[in-house]
Amino acid sequence: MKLNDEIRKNNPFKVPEGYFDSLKERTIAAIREQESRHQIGEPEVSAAGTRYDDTAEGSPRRGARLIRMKPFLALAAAILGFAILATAMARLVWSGNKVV
Amino acid sequence: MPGINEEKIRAVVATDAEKAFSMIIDLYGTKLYWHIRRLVITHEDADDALQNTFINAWRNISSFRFDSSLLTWLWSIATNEALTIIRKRDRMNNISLDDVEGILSDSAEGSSWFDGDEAEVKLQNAILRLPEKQRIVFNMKYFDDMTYEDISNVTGTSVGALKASYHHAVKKIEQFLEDN
Repeated sequence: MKLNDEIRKNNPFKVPEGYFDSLKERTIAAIREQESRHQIGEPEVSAAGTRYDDTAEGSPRRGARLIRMKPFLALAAAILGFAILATAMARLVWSGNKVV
Repeated sequence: MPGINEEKIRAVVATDAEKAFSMIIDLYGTKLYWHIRRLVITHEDADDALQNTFINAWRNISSFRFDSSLLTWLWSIATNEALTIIRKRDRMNNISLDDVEGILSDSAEGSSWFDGDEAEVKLQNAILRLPEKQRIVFNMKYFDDMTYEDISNVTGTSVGALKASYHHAVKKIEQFLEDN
């Protein structure tokens, strides 16, 4: 069966009545809502009403969160390193004092 | 609104971005919807992707330099928004849904906004079975009547590759229709 214009003309997809008539109004309302959320620092939401996936690849939010956590990660790594070193030193001293 | 074109939008955008954006919605809103709808199938997903497209476009309209056409810019945003929804849906289902009935039965709206006969369902299923990029190219060429140059600007693929892709897509669809 060949693709032809007859097939193209048939559109099986329907829309709710008045959908396109109110499209501009709803779109501008959605944009204004996003703008007000942005201004008061609230997380952005998609038009679906669910939060954007912050862990999505390429999400700018993901990179920003990692940058904010870096100092704390560095501190945690330093504390861990110190603890390991202290433990190793203590064992060295302890084994050195052991009576054989 | 009669008489809107990209030149008029360009003339207005620097001084009145809101008015320019209103003109963009008038000029491309419906076409963008149908482009998205043919990719995502359900009305609800198409509406979501369309709104996200316009929100995304609004954020960047002031910095749009008109070195490419608004049409290809918007189509690019819309295609990405549609693909985001499709991929999210596939992740939730752990499978890529490649038939219309499956997608509709999985959605809240069901078949409320789909009224196709057997032949139309078969055609949609044939298109859904195409590889993602081929499907996008096919839809833009066959349904949106875009030029290969415009499709190239949207997809970043060369015109030659697009022509080959479209040719293969047509063959696959025709074969599917014949086999089913």
